[in-house]
Amino acid sequence: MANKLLINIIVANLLWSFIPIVISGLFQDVSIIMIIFIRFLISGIILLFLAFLIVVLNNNISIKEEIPLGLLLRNLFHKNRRFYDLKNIIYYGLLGFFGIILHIIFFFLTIKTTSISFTMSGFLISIILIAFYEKGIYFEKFDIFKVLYLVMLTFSIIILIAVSATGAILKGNPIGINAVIYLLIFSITISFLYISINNDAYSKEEIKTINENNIYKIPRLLIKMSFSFLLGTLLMIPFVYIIFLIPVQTDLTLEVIQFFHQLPQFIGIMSRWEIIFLIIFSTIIPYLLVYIANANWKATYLTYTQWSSILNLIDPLGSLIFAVILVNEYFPYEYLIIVIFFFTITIIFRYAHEIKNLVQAVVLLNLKKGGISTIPTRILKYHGVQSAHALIGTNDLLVNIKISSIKDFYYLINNRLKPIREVNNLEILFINKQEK
Amino acid sequence: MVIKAIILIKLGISVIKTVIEELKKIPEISRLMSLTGDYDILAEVIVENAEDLYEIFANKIDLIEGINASNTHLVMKSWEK
Repeated sequence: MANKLLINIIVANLLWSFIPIVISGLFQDVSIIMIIFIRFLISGIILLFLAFLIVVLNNNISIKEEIPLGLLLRNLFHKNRRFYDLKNIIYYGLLGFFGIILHIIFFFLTIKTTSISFTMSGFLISIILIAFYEKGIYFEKFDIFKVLYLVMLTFSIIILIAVSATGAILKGNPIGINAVIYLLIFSITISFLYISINNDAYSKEEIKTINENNIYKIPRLLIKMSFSFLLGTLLMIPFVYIIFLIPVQTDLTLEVIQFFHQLPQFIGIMSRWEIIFLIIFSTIIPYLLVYIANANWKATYLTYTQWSSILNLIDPLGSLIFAVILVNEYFPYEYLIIVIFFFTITIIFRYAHEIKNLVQAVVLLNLKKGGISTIPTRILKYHGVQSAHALIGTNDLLVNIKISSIKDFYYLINNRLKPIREVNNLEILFINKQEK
Repeated sequence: MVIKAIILIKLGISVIKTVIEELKKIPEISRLMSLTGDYDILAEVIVENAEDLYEIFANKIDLIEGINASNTHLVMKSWEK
């Protein structure tokens, strides 16, 4: 395997795929809202503690450059130019509530009211939604591989829904319109999570720190996720009250009422093995794995984000297999084999699509006097810029670019690099192949 | 002290495969890319000192058949994301 860190993404997705199995047992007597409240409150606190622990250990034991704690905290109040210029803390809050808390609420509600196999179709719907979002917003062209994997996903969704609907009828509990609505809200909110989770940009000061000590990325990512969890959980409280006050009674209202009843048993519920499993093996460990992979990513070809989007199908596929094997959910083996085949083909086509559209280039810049001291760290903030090298020779700066499409490349060159006042001249060399 | 250099190479017609094979044999070349643009190849060389850089360039790279022109830059500092 070209990149050993791919294992981190695979293991994290496999750990996430156990979630439906673990929580199915909890649903009997614990409110969904309570499960989510405890999971993200405790995980948020632990991730924050881990972030500070890494900083303290690095600054006191490691020989590497010091990680400035103040810089990590100041980052919370920086404007995020990749998320409507809102401050990072607001971005984390919105990501936490809409992308994580709401998605998990409706994910759990769909599992509770239907089955694991029916719920897994939500992941696939979200991939299709994101594909059309990218086409609408970024005008991304649908190449043959993308069309093929979208067709495969559509067939998989049809099989998942048809088989789980049959299973529900056989059990005497047909899938209702409410469950379909939960599934759609789950698909939309998880799409928001996937679209927004990487809309994060390092500041100039942070780029400088990362170049002195690459470890900085890990506490920064941990703080981001910890604040997303904690702020999302905080925003869930008014949401729960609104649901409680709405006169129309839904499954969610019942969950909210159960949550208020169970609040005095908070400590008892927290010590259940399923909750401990959710916190440690479904949250802390997988997030640490993906953050370590992200921070140390040295891919020779695809970026971390691209690999992560290719491999995230392992999560629903694993959940489906475990549901059939471990909890005997209704899903005939012949259909399971077909779905596994479609998922595998989808992963291959997604890989082919990402490889086909990836743009790699070297850009040589001639700078005005004084430009070399400020431009490298400034341009490194831009999406797609991988590294910058100050040169002695005909050119002053060499910039390595790896970006997911030619549209993004056009934007980077014409809207980001060319308008820089200190840039005199710019020469583009496309990389055909990395030969060594 | 380690020196890192970027050598941009222009080639003649139909020689890219043979030139790349020759360049791959040079251990001091840490990275090699084929390009589309004003240059055809980018080679990143890491050596101990300026003398070694001269040796590799004069006795290895410059002797490869098919290389029409080259442009060498020394890397002063690198930044990564």
